[in-house]
Amino acid sequence: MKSETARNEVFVRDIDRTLLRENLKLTFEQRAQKHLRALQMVEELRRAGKKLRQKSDGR
Amino acid sequence: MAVDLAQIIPPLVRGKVDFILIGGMAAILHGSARVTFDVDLIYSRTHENIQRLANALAAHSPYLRDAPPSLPFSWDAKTIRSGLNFTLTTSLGDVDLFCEVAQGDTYHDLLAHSFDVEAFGVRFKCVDLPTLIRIKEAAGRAKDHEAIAELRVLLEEREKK
Repeated sequence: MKSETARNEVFVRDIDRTLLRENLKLTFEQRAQKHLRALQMVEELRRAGKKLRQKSDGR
Repeated sequence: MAVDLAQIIPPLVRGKVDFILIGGMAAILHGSARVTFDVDLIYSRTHENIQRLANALAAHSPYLRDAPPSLPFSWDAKTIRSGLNFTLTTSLGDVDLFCEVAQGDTYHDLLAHSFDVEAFGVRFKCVDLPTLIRIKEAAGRAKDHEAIAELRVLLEEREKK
């Protein structure tokens, strides 16, 4: 149980509070929009990575 | 496909579906900086609500995620009644529907632990932060450890205000 608590403390310590504080200044809708933009970026990077792998595989 | 709350929530609200936003998207509304790829909802299992849920999503091509395309699957009230939880792909993005969450809490149990959100031109219910933390803790999934830590920090930061 002690190790569980210690592990949780490590996770909490490593959280970037500045990002959260910025998010807390936003409205619900702005938070959702910000998330959508991040999600679209992740998906774009995934597509680019897939294309790159296909290219390097000669497909 | 990037899932957009602004696309998914309004049709459900306009269809008078009783649901509460839970999971990663609820965390986003609470201020989480993590990225999540689907929308998790807990829905009421009343006869009328199941029909409303079937109607509200019918126009958005719901289908079982990761199921073979040829599977005989029809999205209707009968299908919802004979199942409990559904992981769906829709034309609006991936949606997970739960009739209960870890520890057996249902829509009706979570109502007292939810609050109204006004966004996307509608008003809907979202689970409160302490309950979201409790649900994630009860699920006991290794992948949730960091998410739970972030939610705890959000709770701390919110209480400082």
